[in-house]
Parts: sequence; structure tokens; C-alpha cells
Amino acid sequence: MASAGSGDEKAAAAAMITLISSDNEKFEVTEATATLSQTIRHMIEDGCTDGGVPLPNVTSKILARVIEYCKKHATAAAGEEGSSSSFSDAAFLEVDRAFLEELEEFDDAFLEVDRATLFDLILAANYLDIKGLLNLTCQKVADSVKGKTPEQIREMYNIVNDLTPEEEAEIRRETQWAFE
Amino acid sequence: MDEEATRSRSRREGDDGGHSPPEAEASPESGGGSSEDDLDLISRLPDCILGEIVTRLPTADAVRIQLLSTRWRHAWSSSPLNLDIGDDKLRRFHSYRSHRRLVSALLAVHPGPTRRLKLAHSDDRVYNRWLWDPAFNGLRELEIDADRSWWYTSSSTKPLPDRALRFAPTLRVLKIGRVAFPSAFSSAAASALRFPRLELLSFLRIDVSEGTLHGVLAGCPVLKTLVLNHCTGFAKVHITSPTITSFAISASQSHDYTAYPDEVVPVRLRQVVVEDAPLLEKLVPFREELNGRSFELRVVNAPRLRVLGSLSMMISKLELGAATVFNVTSRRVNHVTRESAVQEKRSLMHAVMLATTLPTVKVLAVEDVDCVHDVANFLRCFPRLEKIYVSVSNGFRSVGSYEKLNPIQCLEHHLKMVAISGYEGKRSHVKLAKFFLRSARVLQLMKFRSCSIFVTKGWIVDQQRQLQVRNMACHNVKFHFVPDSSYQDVYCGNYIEDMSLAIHDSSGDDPYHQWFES
Repeated sequence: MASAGSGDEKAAAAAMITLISSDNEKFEVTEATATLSQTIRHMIEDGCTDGGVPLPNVTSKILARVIEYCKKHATAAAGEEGSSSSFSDAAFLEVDRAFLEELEEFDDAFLEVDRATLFDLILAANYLDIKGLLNLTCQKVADSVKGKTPEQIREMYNIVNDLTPEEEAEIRRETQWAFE
Repeated sequence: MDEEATRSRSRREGDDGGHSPPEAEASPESGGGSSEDDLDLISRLPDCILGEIVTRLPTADAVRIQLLSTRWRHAWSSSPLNLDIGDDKLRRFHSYRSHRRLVSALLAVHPGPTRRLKLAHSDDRVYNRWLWDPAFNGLRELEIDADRSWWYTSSSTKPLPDRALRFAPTLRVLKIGRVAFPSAFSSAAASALRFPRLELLSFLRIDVSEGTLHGVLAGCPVLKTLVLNHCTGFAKVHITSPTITSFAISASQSHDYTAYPDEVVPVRLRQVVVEDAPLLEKLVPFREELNGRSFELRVVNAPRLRVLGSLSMMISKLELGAATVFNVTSRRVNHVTRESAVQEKRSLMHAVMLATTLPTVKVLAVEDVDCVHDVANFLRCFPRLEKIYVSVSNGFRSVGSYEKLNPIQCLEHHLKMVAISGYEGKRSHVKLAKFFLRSARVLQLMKFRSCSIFVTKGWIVDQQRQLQVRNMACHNVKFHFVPDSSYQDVYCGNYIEDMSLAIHDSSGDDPYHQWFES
């Protein structure tokens, strides 16, 4: 992040933002947590967050998980910024290192969800524009289809083949090499 | 069915990429009463998301994705191309003609842009033609690695396709292996090169002159990761970079040049100086073989250094700051096996002067130490060390002991993990492990990596019994035994396929972690 992480940022960290899910549940989070979402960051910059930020595309169940992710990662980011402003201070380094390790474990555990939830998390990450979460979740899906045949993938994700036999033959011809 | 799919898709897109709870989607139109598990939820994701997934797949996997359904056919062609000719499926297309046919076929159906291009062998004539293709404009990641079977003689090395450099303005990642810089590529030309966005630069077995190398480095204002693996042509490397966070370097192999009488002996690496690297966190000198060439390593200013090593006899002299020096010295060592006892000459690292400490270093890997005394000297240099990897595969004698009256700070307060590689359960190995058990007060985990012929249930039980220490400094230490099936000498990092991946960015906070995962 290019922003100069100094006084301003720390003051802002204390400010609270209210997020409102599609089913009208309210979540109060710190600005540091909320601004992991570029979408919300822009709303804050435009000064339109008074009275809460309605998120009509995100259910409370998913929003709760997204906030869990952001909280964890915002703390890590705060550690990073803190240390870059005074990087000679070993105490800061210590904090953010322990955190990075913990963060990896957190991410692994975070992905242990059913498929529907995973897709909802992807959609929420996309809508809220949270890069880290989008990367994490999309990579999980990509890894799940790696090395599999189209038939296996279709079965795994219940995808119905709607290609005409002619279309399928054409694609097979074009992509023959990828099957050998 | 086709119609239904289209309908449900447009509803989703109308949602502006958002979503509604999955419960609400079990509507009759999608297959009457079926449970959530039976629904094709993935195809309902918006185009941009499918693209995000597809572009994270290896080329052949991504190409096959088109066969899933109409939806996915489109998803492939509209996501940025990840063209990896090093992909196993593509590797078989060795001849220029088959390669060309394949790539033209791919480019005919995929309009670009290309995110990543990885080329497996280097025939500059071939690639110079391809690299003009507009589908590659704005390329972010370029990897060129010549065919593996070619690397060992430099005379067969093909030059780097000069058109590869047309991507310099947009590249984020550049990895080249086993190719030569174009001979016309002087250091003056290198100084004119600019890679304004390059974050990762990796050279593997590249012959490049000192001037050219430093010219290239000077043209990378945002470089974060640099890997120089087995490169030749330069004797010194100076790192002065306000942005670099990770740097890995290994010396070239020491060849028996009598085997290649007509070869010119290349210039060898002698000295690495980290002059000024305010953000450097990982400094990883590594080796892949026992008798590689050695070089001096000097760290002048690296105030954020967190990961260091592996320090081995590959580093003939190590200077940390102004007043800490380790030297490699030779000692006569009795090498005792079941059958015989031989005296052999071994090179070992050993402290000459210990006055500077590096409190930022948390992870350290060392090899070629052969007694507790030497290990203790390393520990003194890094008062806040949390993890240490020690390779004893090259022997460990264990004479000398730790002076309790002069406590080592990291043992008292910080060291949480000790990993011993090449552990065979010999008396000297047990002694080293016990040294940590007795003196590391906050130790949580000890890992042992051993040749898999040792690691049986009975052996582990026996080792655990031997490692019982009465006056243990800490009572909750866990033991973790990792079998190593390679039957080879183990050096730090020699299982790491692509060092740049292991150290770049946040990927792997501890590059040696994976070394103990098998």
C-alpha cells in the first residue's frame, strides 16, 4: 500500500463503520477492517457511510465470514505499516512476523467451507473488491479442477454439458494436444 | 436446458456481480426439489469470476475447460491467457514446427491479452518471431527456460531472444534460465534497459558479465525479489536497492573442465556484498551440491533482515556488519562408521569475531558446523532468533559445550523451533538435540529429518527415549520426525524447485519450512 501509514491512519483506525447485510443485520467494524474492501474504502472517501453501509448483495452469514477475514488481515496490515514507519524497531517486526505465520494457518482454516459458501465468498469478495480474499478463494477452486478431465469436473460441479456434438467435436479437435 | 441456463445466468448478471443466499436458489426451475449439492452453482458465477479461476490454471487445464459447456468455452477465451509451454502437456512439442502450429492454433482462438508466457526451450529464431504477436502485448510475466538437457555445456547455450526485451516496460516477473545474453548486449546497453514494474527477477545458469548484471539491476526501480542461481560471468555482486525484500544466490558448480577441454572457463562468483538494502528481509545463499564454489558474503546494511541462510562452507567468509566475522577453516575430523574409522579433512564454519548482533533475524539455517560450541556462536549473533535449521548430514562431532554462565539471549527468550536435518540418532546428534532441550527455555517444537531407512516406529520410540532430558528447560516440547526418501545428502534448499517462488513476497514466511514437509 502506498499510503503513508502514520498519524492519520491510526486515528482513523478507531472510527467505527456499520455494515448492513441483505437480511438487515448490522455489523460494526473498525474503519481499518472495512477498508480492506476497496468498494467500502471508496464509499468512505466519498463520505457516504453515515447511517451505515447497506450491502444488498451480501447475506449476514457471508458478511460475518468476510468480516472475520478482514479483521484478521487488517491487523496484519496494521503491523506492516507500523513497522515500515519505524523499521529499526525490532519489536514491531516481531509482531508482524508471528502474525504472518498465523495468517497462513488462518487462511487455510478459513477455506474449509462447503462449496456454496465458497462461491458466495467469491462473489462477496468480488463485489466488495477485496483482492486477497478473491485470490485465496479463486485459487482454491482452480486447484480443485487441476489435472481433472472435463467429465470429472462436470460431475464434481454438476455442470450440464450444453454443447452440441458438432461444437464439442470442434473444440476437441482444437484442443487435442491437451488431452494426450 | 440451454434456455434455463441462459435465464438463470442473466438474472445473476443483473445482480451486478453480487449474490443472494444459496437457499433462495433451490427454485423449481433448476431441477425440482434437488438439494443444493446437485446444483451447478459454479456456472452461475459471473464471467469475470470464471475468468479469475481459469487464469489461475495451468495452460492445458485451462484449454480443456472449454469442453465443459458453452459458458466455459467463452470463459476461457475471455480470460487473460496463461501460456505455459513448459507445461507437461506441451513439453512434447519439441520441434519448432509443432510448437508453432500449436501456439498459432491457441492464438487463433484466444484473442489475448496474455498474462503469463512461459517458454520451455530457447531457439531465438523461433521465439523472436512469436514474440511479436500482438496477443502478447502488455505481457506481465515472462519465463524462458531452455531445455534441461542442454544446460551443462555453455557452448550449446542459445541466446536470449532479443525481442523478449520488448516487454520490459510491462513485465512484473522475469525468469530466465540456461540462455545467454545476446553477445552484442554490452553493459552500456544493459544500463539503458528499464524494467519500471519488474518485481521478480530470476536468473538460472545464466552467463552474464558484471557490468551487464548491475546495469540490469539498476534499471529495476521496484524490484522485490532477486534470484541468481548457478550463474557465471561475474565475480562480484553488489546489492544496493531501496526496494529489494528477498535475495537468493548460489554459486555455480565446480566443473571438471578437463572433461570439456575446448571450453573457456567462465568467471566465477567470488564476493557478494549487500551494501544497502533497507527492506531486505530474506537473504538466502544456498547450494545444491557438496563441492560447489565458495564465495564471500558481506552484509553492510540490512536493518530488516529476518531470514538468513543457509550458512555453509560455501561461504568462505561471512561478515555481518562491521564486527562479526565467520571464516571457513579446515579441520581434521575422525569419521567413524561401523566398519572403519577414517580421518578426513573437512571445511567448517567458525566464528572469528563476534561483536555485531542482528536482532531482527528470526529464522536461520546453518550447515557444516560440527560442534555445539559453533552452533552457540551462531546463536549469539542472533539474539532474537525463533527458528533454527541445522544440517548435520555432513557430519557432527559435538565437542565443546555451551557455557551456562554466559547465557545466550535467544535461548532464554525466543527460540521456539529447532529443525535438525540429516539426523541419524548418533551420539553426537542426540547431544546436539539435548543441548537445545536443556537450554532453550521457550522451545515448542523439534523436527528431525532423517533418511527413511531409519524412521521406523521402534526407532522413533527409541529416539524419544534418548531425548528425555531430566533438566529440560521447557516441558512442552513436541517431537516431529520426518522421513527423507531421497537417500541423498541434504543441503538447505535443495528440494526447493523454484527458489523465487519460495522467497517472493509473502509466499512462505519461512522458505525452509517446506524442506521439512514430506
